[in-house]
Amino acid sequence: MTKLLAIDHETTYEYEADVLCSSHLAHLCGRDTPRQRWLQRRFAAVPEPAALQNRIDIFGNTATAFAVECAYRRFSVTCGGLAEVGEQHLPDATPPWEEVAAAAPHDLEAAKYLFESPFAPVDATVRGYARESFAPGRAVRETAEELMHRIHADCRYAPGTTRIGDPPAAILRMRQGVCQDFAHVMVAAMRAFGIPCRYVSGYLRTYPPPGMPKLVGCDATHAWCAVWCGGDAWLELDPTNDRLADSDYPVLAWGRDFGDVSPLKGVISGGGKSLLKVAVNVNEREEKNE
Amino acid sequence: MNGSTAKPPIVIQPDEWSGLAAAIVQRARLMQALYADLYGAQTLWHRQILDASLLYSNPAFLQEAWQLPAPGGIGINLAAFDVRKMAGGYRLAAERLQVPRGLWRTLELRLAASRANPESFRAQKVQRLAHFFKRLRDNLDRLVPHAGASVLLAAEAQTPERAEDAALSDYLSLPLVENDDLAVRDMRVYMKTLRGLRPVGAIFRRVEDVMCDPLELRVDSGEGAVGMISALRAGNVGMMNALGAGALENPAFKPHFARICHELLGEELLLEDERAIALGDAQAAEAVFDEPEQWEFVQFDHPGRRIVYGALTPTAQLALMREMLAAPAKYVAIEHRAYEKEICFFALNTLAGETIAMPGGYTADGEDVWVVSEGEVKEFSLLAAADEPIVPTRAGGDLPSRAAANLAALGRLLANTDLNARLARGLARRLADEDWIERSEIPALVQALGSDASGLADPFAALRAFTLRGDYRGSLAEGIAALARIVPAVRDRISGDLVAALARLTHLAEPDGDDPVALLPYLAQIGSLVAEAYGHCASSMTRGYEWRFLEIGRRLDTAASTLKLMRNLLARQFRNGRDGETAAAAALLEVGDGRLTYRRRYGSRIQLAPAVDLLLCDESNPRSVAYQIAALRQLSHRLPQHADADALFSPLDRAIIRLLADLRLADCTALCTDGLDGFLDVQAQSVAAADELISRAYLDHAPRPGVVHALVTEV
Repeated sequence: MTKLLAIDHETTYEYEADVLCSSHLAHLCGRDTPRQRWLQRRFAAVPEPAALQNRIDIFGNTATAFAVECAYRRFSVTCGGLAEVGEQHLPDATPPWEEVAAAAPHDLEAAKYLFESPFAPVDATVRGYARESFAPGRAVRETAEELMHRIHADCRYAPGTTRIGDPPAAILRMRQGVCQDFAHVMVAAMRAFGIPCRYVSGYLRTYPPPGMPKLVGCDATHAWCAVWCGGDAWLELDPTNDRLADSDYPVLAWGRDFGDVSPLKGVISGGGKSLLKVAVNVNEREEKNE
Repeated sequence: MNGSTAKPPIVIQPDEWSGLAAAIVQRARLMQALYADLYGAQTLWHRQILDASLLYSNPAFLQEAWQLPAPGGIGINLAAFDVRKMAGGYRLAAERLQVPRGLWRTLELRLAASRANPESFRAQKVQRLAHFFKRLRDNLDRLVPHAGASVLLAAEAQTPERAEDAALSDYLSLPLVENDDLAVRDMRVYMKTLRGLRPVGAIFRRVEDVMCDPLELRVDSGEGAVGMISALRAGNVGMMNALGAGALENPAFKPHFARICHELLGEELLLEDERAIALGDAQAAEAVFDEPEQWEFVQFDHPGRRIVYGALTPTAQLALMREMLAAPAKYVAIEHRAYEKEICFFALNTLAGETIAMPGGYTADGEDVWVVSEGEVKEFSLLAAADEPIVPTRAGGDLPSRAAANLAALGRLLANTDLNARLARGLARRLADEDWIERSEIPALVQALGSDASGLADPFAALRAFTLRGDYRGSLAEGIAALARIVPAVRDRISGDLVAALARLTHLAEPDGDDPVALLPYLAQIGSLVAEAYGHCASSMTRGYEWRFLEIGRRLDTAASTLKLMRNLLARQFRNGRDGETAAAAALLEVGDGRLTYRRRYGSRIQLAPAVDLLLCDESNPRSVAYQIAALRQLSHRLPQHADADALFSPLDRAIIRLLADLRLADCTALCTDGLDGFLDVQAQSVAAADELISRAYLDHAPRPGVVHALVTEV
């Protein structure tokens, strides 16, 4: 079922000393996908950027480059908008993974996500972990879902225990991490057997316990992955929650790994220590009046 | 280079050259066509002619360069080709496109060879190179989108490539900049100079792809070019060659160039590659693994490094084999064949749509390559003709802020070394005396070294550490080590004599021992070498910005260190009673180099107040604080004016005038009775404030107390 989601996302940095100037790159303008259409998009930074440039990157995302050239101590980026998000069109019967792997180098779109990448290196640990799921002749969807179940069962969700940049092999050794880590593990594991896999950045809409009011700002930016099943079929899986992405998963951007789609990065001059606050709200709207 | 040592040149006859030139020109056009396809329509891949791995597992493929606009659509302007002459003709060994090095080497060898054989050079009608460089320079200026200077973005000062870049920038009359000389504002690129930010229109880059923007490429690639990719995307600056050129250097393209040439240019490839096989192609790779000693191997991550299998030890062969079998897709095998010569040629794709080959080149063995002409040789030189009238001028021109900062640092380090050497001598002389234990000023001198309590317990060890230990903060040895580091950065801006004097100072032979007696001659030598360096500054540097900032650094540091010295030597706790005071004053006069003047003025009776006056307030004493401030006042007069120049006095003027007035009005006799410490502290703060003002206004336009790289993380 398609949902109309209103998304508010605010990122704030408080600095202990003056920041003199800063340059940033954001991937916060959501992209349209086969199951998702943005009706409105918002993006604003305070202090106001001296220059701002939107561009489409090689993965089809909108990247926003901007620079702030006045001194400040507080920096905030608000973004979001209104998106129509639908369920995945799930392919019922997918080919065996070997067939998909054989086709991958010849599909230029899929091949972007076929090779190892800086945040998702493939090594013997990753390959060894994944092997069990790649039974000969198994359908690629079944393979991917089984791998997702295993990652979810084997790894504990433990914020603060890992750092961005920890390679999948290290996550597998520690058996814990956050959504980015599990997405990277899955991405690397699929690629280890020649299956293209995207790293997807977006949001996750959460539900309060029954009878409780929803807290403001409790939703989160999220990361999952999309496995190529041949042709135009990509299967979005969330190893963190062991489920297929659905209309509660609005997409921002996708790439080979976190490095391609990091929501907001920057080079900041001055500033000293900083305090980061991120607040995300994803709320369902009544169907819009046509 | 000495002409007599030049090797005889390689001579290429006209008919041979016409074929070779056509082949090189075609290669340059091919590289441009491949660049445009690779980062644009990717037709070679859509049509399944090339494997996707050549795009997406090519470590040098720069996704940030995808559909990056290049002025005139030309991404590959300058190309260098290493061509091997072997049995059966010429074969292409490698193409160098990110940073086509060797241009200066070619000129250098040409100069040497033409000097060594002037008659044959003329008689053989050797084609000149200057015309190619002229076209290169013109082409760069045509890359400028709106307005702005063309610059050469050089490798870092410490790298071996820097000398080539400096020489080339000189020859092409391009300002040399480093990453930190640049600033991106409002998606335009600027050069930080003493006069403020100057727009940059085109960049001849001599650094690799990944070093061009720390925001989107390598995080540690310097702070100046933050946002360069945005400026390039906005079309506000031109770059030669375009970002991402490195992807084409991947040897995995080698087996495919004949096909690529056919597809993209519709022509037969004129210059063949060496025979190459991508090991990712399992079938073809069998032939390689059967006879590995027939092959050389290149790993994608290091396209410039060839591993000759036959030259490896058996263990290394085994290790290489294991690596290649584990990741064959990362290796290319190139047939190992003997060759006669490897010649480097250059070609240029101009914005006018023309491609030209440089008639000449150099060999890997250091020989000049002469291309002989059938017709007349046009005399042409980028070096201005000797009879071209030169209008006399006294302008020093502008100076990049980094150069000014480096020269100021040189001045500071010289001043620091000078004072530290005298301080160490003062202590060494006293410790060499058998009655040292009774001397009350020794703790004060040890304190002035910056030593902690352990130094007071063992002044000999403190002196040794201060003089010889480079890892000891604020020590004499550390200052000399810092001097050695700064010299390469300022080498092109100071005289050869000064460079030589600094080299002697920074490569001084270690003293014979580490007891005070052995240290004394060593310290005296440092003192006289610093004096020699100062002498060269004074006598051989024109009074332009270079000299001015060197002097500013020297004066600021001398003022600050002298104040600190007085504060340490005259601290209350070390001067008890009249004897203590006399000893402290004597030490101050000695370290402050004021003994002679003092004796002439006051005879042999040493008292505190006149000694303080001599080193603090006496503007006629070149070692005094007041002299430094008066000199600063003169120096700052001639600095470029900034926005607040309309005010009668700039903040810097005011700070210096206030300092000077304080020193002139100081009553040393009264101060020595009470309040000297406080007075010295206030003056030290004022000097630091003036220093900060100069830095902010001239040296770093955006002061950067530390760059934080922040990555937002998701949960």
